[in-house]
Amino acid sequence: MRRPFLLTCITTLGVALLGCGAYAATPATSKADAEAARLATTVCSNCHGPGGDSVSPLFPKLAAQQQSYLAAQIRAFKNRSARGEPEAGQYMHGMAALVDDATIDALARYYARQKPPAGRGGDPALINKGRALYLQGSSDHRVVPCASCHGQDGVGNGPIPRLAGQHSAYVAHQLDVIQKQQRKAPVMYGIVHDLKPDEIRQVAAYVQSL
Amino acid sequence: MAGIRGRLVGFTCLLWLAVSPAARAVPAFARQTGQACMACHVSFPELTPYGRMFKLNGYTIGSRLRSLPVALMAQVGDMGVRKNRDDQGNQIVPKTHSAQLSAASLFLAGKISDNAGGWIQWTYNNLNVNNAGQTVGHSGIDNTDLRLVGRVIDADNTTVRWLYGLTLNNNPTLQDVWNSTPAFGFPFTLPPNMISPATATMIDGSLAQQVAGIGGYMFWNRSLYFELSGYRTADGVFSWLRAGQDIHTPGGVHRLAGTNPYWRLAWNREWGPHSLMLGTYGMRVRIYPDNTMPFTPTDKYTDIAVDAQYQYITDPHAFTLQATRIHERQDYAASFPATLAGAPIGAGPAPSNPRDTLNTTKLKVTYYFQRRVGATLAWFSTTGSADPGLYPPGSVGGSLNGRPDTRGVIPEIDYLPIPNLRLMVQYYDYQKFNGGSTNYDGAGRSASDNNTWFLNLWFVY
Ligand code: HEC
Ligand code: HEC
Repeated sequence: MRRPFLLTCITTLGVALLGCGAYAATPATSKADAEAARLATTVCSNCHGPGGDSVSPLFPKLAAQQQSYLAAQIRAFKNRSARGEPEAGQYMHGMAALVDDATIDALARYYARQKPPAGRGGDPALINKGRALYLQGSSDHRVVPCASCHGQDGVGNGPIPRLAGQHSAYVAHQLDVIQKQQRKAPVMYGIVHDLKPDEIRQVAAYVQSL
Repeated sequence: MAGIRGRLVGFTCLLWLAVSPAARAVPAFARQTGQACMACHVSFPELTPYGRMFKLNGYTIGSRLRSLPVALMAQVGDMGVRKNRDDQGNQIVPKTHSAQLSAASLFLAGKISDNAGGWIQWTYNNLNVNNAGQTVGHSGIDNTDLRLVGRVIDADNTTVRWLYGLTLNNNPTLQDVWNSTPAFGFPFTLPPNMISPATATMIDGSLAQQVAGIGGYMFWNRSLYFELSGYRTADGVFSWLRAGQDIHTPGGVHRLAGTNPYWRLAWNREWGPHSLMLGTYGMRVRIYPDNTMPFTPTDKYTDIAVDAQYQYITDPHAFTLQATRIHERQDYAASFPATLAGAPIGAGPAPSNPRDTLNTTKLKVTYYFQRRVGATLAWFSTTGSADPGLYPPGSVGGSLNGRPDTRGVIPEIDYLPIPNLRLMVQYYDYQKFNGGSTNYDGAGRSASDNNTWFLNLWFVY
């Protein structure tokens, strides 16, 4: 009797769990929204964190990001167009291939309505310089104020992304790949192509603190 | 002498089969997710936080491949031993100082549904050593892990609160997702047929591809992991899980009696680019002293281990640390009385003590730049009770003082020109071997005579 007991126990437990473990009920408005919530919780959250509030700076925060910006980016990954930086291929092309058009829009809705990520402080000197650049542009008028598009508080607007609370390492990396034109963002390229590495670090630290 | 040498060679080849060409990165999964190796691996096979979630999710992330989900792996290496002659002048390790295809594997790996997935590895070992001491090709099953998973999503619909599943596998700790446990611990590959110390704990690879285990696990909130498994000899419906093992030769494999418990508890935390795990794992097994005599009384081995892992992963730096300590209690309830009565059980152990202990400690640190160039330094130590019955003197493989104590360091340098090709150099530097530094075997051999270098090209596709 003793021999198969443990095995039986484990199997029974497992089967019972699998049986009752259907997804917690979702007040889904539509099929696409339900699918988006399922993907976001079971797949995307493994990198982008719960509700898009990611832990590791390798992965951008998506929580409270602008809805139309999100949809445009997932499409850009999916058709492998604008986002040509190496990380896009290493991590996101495959993920975007999993979703159809309706789910892309639903994913964008899902992340846009999540709680905004909390800002995180850093080196005050860096942040102060970053604030000046962000709000006033560079003193030599080489760079226009970021706030003019991304907003005083960095929350973005429509196709212009939220930067507030974003990981500084991710922000700095995006500015770098936009400068190298690996990521094709013509409007942004025009604005940041002369941004110096120091300025990138400063402005990235500032937006993360918002 | 030939007998001892035969046994030694037999043992080393068993160890090589058991732990070495083990499988490690599975490009079929990369094709399924559309992601790069580096999403899941710091450098294969070491897992990133996302790689751990991918595995615990039962390899179900991504879309099922329409074509057959296969992957290939091959290793071509060259090695040398500081003194590759025993006291009689016989060569110990065959085929040194020449490039050799050591092993090639075929994987069947992938998602079956959103709740099921897994992988099966079949390995061809080109340098298997037969009883006559010649290298011959040999193939058999390698690491295998099949899973069923389920998830409970939290009330605010943002994350998986409970991730749980079942695993069927053939190597204790193979199912684990932290690289501090033995099956996927460092060194990730070994020189073929290298001279191995007299013993290792049961959980440290000794049962690989000989057993079948079914376990249930839960990962709560990505912070607490709990698993309970039961292992038994892979016979009957599970016999495919040990295909290729030498089960008919006395001493060829370990044969377990009944179902044996394995447990795992881990606390995991991630913040910024850091992740930390502190855990414990272990198992208790009952083993027939001779695998061809599954009707005798059994010996009992209890392994209790603690382990820790820290990872710091950014672009371009990755720094990781793994450590484990395994404590094994050996209760020779069957072998000791039989040995005392002058009639050891078949090819089973002939211990001098009713009970022994064995402790293994391993520590490794790794740094990678851009996941392309890396270096690892590892330290290992095994100590245990003196037991001349278990560890008798004998050229190369024996012990003069009857102790298993072995200690050394392994530096390794890696270069990955492309993510699925790894060039590596390894060196095994022994300070102590089977109980001593000089004349450890009673035939004048020093521990450092076993120092081994290994140059290897490891390809996965
Ligand atoms: C393996 C980790 C991983 C998974 C899983 C993953 N992502 Fe990503 N995601 C990334 C990385 C890394 C980036 C940054 C890519 C870059 O720099 O081009 C990113 C970027 C993004 C962006 C762009 C954000 C911005 O601010 O521009 C969106 C949107 C996104 N992911 C959505 C998703 C969705 C939706 C899913 C699930 C279907 C998902 N991701 C799954 C790693 C992941
Ligand atoms: C003229 C309007 C405009 C100005 C001024 C502007 N941006 Fe942008 N920014 C955009 C738009 C539009 C995008 C989205 C690009 C895309 O679709 O890929 C963007 C994208 C970004 C991104 C990528 C965010 C992400 O989640 O991947 C960063 C980072 C960024 N901007 C930083 C800045 C900084 C720093 C400044 C000031 C130096 C600045 N921007 C000024 C319009 C602007």
